[in-house]
Formats: sequence, C-alpha cells, structure tokens
Amino acid sequence: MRVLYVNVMEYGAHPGLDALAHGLDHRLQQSGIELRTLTVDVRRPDWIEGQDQAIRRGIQAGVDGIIVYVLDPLQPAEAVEAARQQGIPVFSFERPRFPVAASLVYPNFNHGVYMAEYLASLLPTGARVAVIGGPEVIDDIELVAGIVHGVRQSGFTLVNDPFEERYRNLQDVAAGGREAAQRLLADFTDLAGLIPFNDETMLGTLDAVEAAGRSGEMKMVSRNGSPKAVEAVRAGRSHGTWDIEITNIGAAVGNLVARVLVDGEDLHGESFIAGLGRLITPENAHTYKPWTERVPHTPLREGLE
Amino acid sequence: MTKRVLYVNPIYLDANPAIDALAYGLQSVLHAADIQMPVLFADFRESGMRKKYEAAIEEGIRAQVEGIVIYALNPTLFGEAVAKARSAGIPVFSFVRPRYAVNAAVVYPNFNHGVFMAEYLASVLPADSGVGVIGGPDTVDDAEEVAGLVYALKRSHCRLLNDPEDKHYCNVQDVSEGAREPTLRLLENVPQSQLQGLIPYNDETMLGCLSMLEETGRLGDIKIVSRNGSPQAVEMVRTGKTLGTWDLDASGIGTTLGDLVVRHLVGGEVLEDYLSMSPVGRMITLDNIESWKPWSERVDCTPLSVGL
Repeated sequence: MRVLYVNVMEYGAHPGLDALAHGLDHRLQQSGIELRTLTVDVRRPDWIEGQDQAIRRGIQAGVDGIIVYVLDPLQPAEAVEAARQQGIPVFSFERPRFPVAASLVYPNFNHGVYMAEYLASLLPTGARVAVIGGPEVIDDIELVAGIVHGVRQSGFTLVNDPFEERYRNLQDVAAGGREAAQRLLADFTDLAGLIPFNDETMLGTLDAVEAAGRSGEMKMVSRNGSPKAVEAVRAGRSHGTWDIEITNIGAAVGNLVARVLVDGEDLHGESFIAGLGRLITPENAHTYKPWTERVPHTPLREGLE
Repeated sequence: MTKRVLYVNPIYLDANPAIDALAYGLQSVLHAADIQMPVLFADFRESGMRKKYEAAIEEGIRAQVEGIVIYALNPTLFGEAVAKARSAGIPVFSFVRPRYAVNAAVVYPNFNHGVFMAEYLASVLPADSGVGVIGGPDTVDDAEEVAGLVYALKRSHCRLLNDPEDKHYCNVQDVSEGAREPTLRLLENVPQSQLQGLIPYNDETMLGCLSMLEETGRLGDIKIVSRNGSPQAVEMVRTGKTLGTWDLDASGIGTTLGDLVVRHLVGGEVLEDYLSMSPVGRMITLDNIESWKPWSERVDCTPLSVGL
C-alpha cells in the first residue's frame, strides 16, 4: 500500500516538521505501508492551490490513503472531498472543518499554559513578560492563546499583544524569529521573561538578544523540544523547551492510517489527541533523546513515480 | 495483601453525573488490577471545603493507603497535604494538573472541547448570529473550556454576546440549579432578537438553562450545545431540546488515570510529574445518537466503597 503525505515545508527548513514526517514514515513502515511525500511549502503564496494539486496527483496515482496537515481549517476541502469520493481515506494533522477519515489534534493550549506556568516558577508575580507569536495556523494560534492564558493566570504583566503582526514570526523559521524579536526588543526594555512561541523562533530570538547586547536580561521558554533548543537550555541561553515528542505525533497519525487501511476499522471521522510531552529544563536535559535517535531517519521518498 | 488507593471525590454522588462516571472509570481499572478504592467526599460547594479535602488526604496518610487520587480543582489547592503524603512515601495522582509535584496527572483537552463545541454551533447558525455563553466555576478545566469557547466564537461568523468569565454569567455551583440565575440574567440583558445560540459550559448547566428557557417561554427559540455527554443531555438531544453535547468520555478520563496508578503501583514504573491526556471525545448529535453508549455500559459501575 502507498500513502501520500502532503508535506508543508521543504525538508531541512523546519526540523520539527522533518521529525514528524519521519515518525509517520516509521510507523507506516511497521504496517507495511510505503509513504510518499509531495511537498508544498506553505511559505509560498499559492500554497492552497499547491496542496489541492498535490492531493489530485495522489488521486490520479491511485494511492491508498492521503495525509494532510491542516493549517487553515477550511482548506483543502474540495480536493479532500474529491479523494473521498474516489474511496481514498484522508487523514489529517489537526482537525479540519470538513470530513476526513480521522484527525489528530494537539493539546497546543495546554502546552502554552504549562510553558507560562514554568516561567512563573522562575519569576516574581507581576514580572514583565513578552510573547512572540507565530503564523496564522491552527496549532500555533492555539499555542499562543494558551501562553497568553497562562501568562495572565500566573499574574505576569504581559507587555505586548502576540497576535499583533509586529510581534509575530509569520515565516515560522529562525530568521523570521530574529526579525520579530528585533522589533520587540526595540519596543520594550527591562523584560524579565520572553516566550518565543516555538524553538525556531527562540533561536532567532537568541541572535537578536545577543546583537542587542541584552543577553542574560530575560528568562526564556519555548516549545518543541528540538535538539538545538535543548542545546540552548544546556548552555544556559534558554531556560526550557516543551518537548512535544514530535516523532510520536507523526506515529500517532500513522497509527490511525494503519487502523483504517490494515485493520479495516471505521474511525467515523473522529478526532484523537496527541500526547502531551514534557518540559526539558537544565535539571532534566540529560534525559533528553534527540529526535534522530527516537526513530530511524530513513530518507523520505518525494514524488509518486 | 490487596493494595488500597484513596480517591477524594470533590462532589457528592448524583450531583454531577460526569464526575460520578469518572470515579467509576477509575475504580474499574483499579479493581481489575486488584486494587481497592475507598472514597472520601469533600464537596467543593460546601464551606470549609479546602480543610475537609486536606483532612481527607491526611486520613489516607494515617490509614497508610498505597496511593491517593485527588481532583485538582484549583492548581494551587491541597499542595501541603499532597507534599505530606509524598513525604510519607504515598504516591499521589491527580485529575487535572496541579502546580505542585505529583506522581502523575491526567490533563483534559478542555480548550479543544470548547473550540469544537463553538465551531459546531457556528456551523448551524447563519452569519452574524448572537451567541451567549454560561460559564462555570473558576476551576482549571472549566476556565480552559470557556477560553476555547470564547476563542472559537470570536473567530467564527457569530457574535459573542456576553463575557462568560463575568461571575454574573457563571454557574459557580456547577449543578443545574446554579444555572438558572445566570441564564435569566442573560435573557434579561440581551434583546430576544439577538440571541440565536447558547452554550452552557456543561450539561448540568444546560439542564438549568432549559428549565429557565421553559419558564420564560423561550424554549425552542435558541440553538444549544453543551459539554459532557451525560445521559440526560443525550436525552435532550434526542428530544430536540438541544443540538448536541460534547461527550468527553468521562469514564475514559477515569480509566486513563487508573492506568497511570496501575503502571506505578503494579507495573513498577516510577512515575514522577508524568502527564497523560484524556480522550478528546466527540459531539453527540441526532445524526450519531444511536452510537452513544451510557457510561454505565462502558465501565463496571460497582457502587463506590465510602470510607476508610
């Protein structure tokens, strides 16, 4: 059996997304399913059309299943419906507002709350905290909503609005994080805490903080648990990264695919939830296992030929 | 010797069916592992609840139970008593994650529930419809669910008509009776022509809302969804009084925590600050109502054993 995954970023641009794809690939291999990828980089302005075309290519190639990453809950509804009409089950990372065979949702909000609560354990009540938001995609928005909820519940003074474009890393790569952090640092002095919404953003933020000569001013926590972020925690440049156990997220969707394609289960379009993960701090960083050691990183097979 | 794990239940039986189902789910997994589950009650609606709850934990310590399960209604409550239990070598497990150390906790995807409920209601309402929300007590899980409702309604084509974090619009008692006053307030403060949808944050609240709507002659005017998937709420869906109830699989929440207790006490895994997500659940509507199973058919509901 062959299953198509419409990947959302060029390989190498976002280590988390790469690890997720490897987790998916590994789980599918265990059930004898071959994973093929077609990558449509969502930084392209025509990404919605690109996703639509990729799914239609999958339909033409007669794949046994299709996996999409839902960034906008309304897209790519038409192409997914076309696949389903052809009897091809469609699975999704995150939950769309159109029918799929099954979807996996993430506890993004909880992650955000716990990141803020951790920062609260390091800082006094009322401390000035800033947040750098992410692109306009479901999981990042929910994460930032959780961070804001947690920051407020923790009694911090939130100095900025992370949903304002000026304070967002809309590109979701380190360079975008650096630019957002530069704008933030120019606007606010004396920050006790800073939460870049994810690790890539945090890496860019670290550059900006250093360039501004403000290293050591603020405590920082971010999300994903990427190897580079854990390195920053070990080096004392950041104070924590929430490890979302991203290879397990990929494997969880692979599991749903196997239940439908191999075991013949009907999942009734229901949603399932990814595991919560854990915070990596200087205290437990020695227990962290890099993503490459969690599942084999066999090269992904791009294309349907 | 059979192990004993104390569960300090935060509300009396029959007051909130979801909390009952959660206890039965927990008990069913513990019983299957040959662990007894004595229960003590410290009802959060009563004055002096905090002291009673802590006293119950201390009773468990004195009785030398092998484990204690708490419900972290507020993330900072009961910290001292829990630390005392852990110092005595008794592992502590929690429904909802507290801000102090426990061995393991089950976390609910409350925010996601709120989002999915609001999205469902919005999908059946025309653009610019007004929606009211009745919030709950200021507990972690209720506040997160309401945050999800507010977030999704603000991003939908509907208008949120009230602030469900304002105590005047909250069912702080978390039983059906407590929903009547905030519902009446909403009906009085919002012009009839503007209120097309209503989200009572949970099923018990929904039952109180319905009684108030009936009394005021507004039943049938307003489309309603709520959360929990309780038997009574499913009945309301069946009779067309509401559109849906999000079945959060309450007994599944209990079994999820039960699994963690068993892993620690029987499986020999040492869990420390371990977190597990409860099932996300699903919306029960007229379209899938026949597939709904009462909690009593999902887990063994042997009566709880009260007292140590």
